[in-house]
Amino acid sequence: MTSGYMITGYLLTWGAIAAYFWRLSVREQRTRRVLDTERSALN
Amino acid sequence: MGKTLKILGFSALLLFIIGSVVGLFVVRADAAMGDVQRLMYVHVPAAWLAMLAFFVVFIMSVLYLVQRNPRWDLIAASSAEVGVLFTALTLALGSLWGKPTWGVWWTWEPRLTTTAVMLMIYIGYLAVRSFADDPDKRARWSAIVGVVGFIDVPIVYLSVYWWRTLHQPPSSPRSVAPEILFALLLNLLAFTVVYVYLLGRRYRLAVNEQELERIVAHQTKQISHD
Repeated sequence: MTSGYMITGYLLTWGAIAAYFWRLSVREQRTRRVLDTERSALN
Repeated sequence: MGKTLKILGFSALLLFIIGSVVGLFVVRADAAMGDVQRLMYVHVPAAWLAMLAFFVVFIMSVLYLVQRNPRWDLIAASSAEVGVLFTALTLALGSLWGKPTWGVWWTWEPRLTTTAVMLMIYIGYLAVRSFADDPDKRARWSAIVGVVGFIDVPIVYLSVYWWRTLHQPPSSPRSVAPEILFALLLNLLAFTVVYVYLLGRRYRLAVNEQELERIVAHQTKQISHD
């Protein structure tokens, strides 16, 4: 009966950390791309 | 930094998988609570790491206010964001544990309430950062919030001793079986490495964002001069 709560909790933990990791990666890629464009425009 | 982060990321993933396998399949289920007690191996480390993250925000905020070095501000902001993630996770996992054991998803008891307040404080910290355009003002204002807001963190920890209501006090080596303690410490280590890794990634992003902001500000200045 209580294993449903347990499984939901673990899935939530993995999901939340994976989602944050994914979001960081996307933001990092986007920022780097814009930064590279701006740097080359400066040069 | 890139290579260190890669090693940290790999270690975090490996430890996290091992910690979850041990918590879910290796350690025996609690006789009274059953499988739901296994949530302890993610709920407790998430709560500890949330507090550690906000302690880092506090230290970095103090350092910033004393030295005015933007690096401390960026580390504080990065740690606050990761801390908000762990606090939200702590509340959600606590709610999932509370329903089958206490009979409710949420109750306004001191530990839960002070933790919810802690989450609001650090969401406020991030909001302050997003409102201020000037980097110096942003760093100064958020450092003040980072120092003042930390007042709630020891209150969260001590709430179970001060009010002694529904939430149990922290487990100690004397109050839990050795195998439960082992699984708990293993997951605490895994969560700590995950925290350090995410902090490093977020800090790297913050450094790039700061440089971009500087370039854009420089260009805007040039345009206004022309």
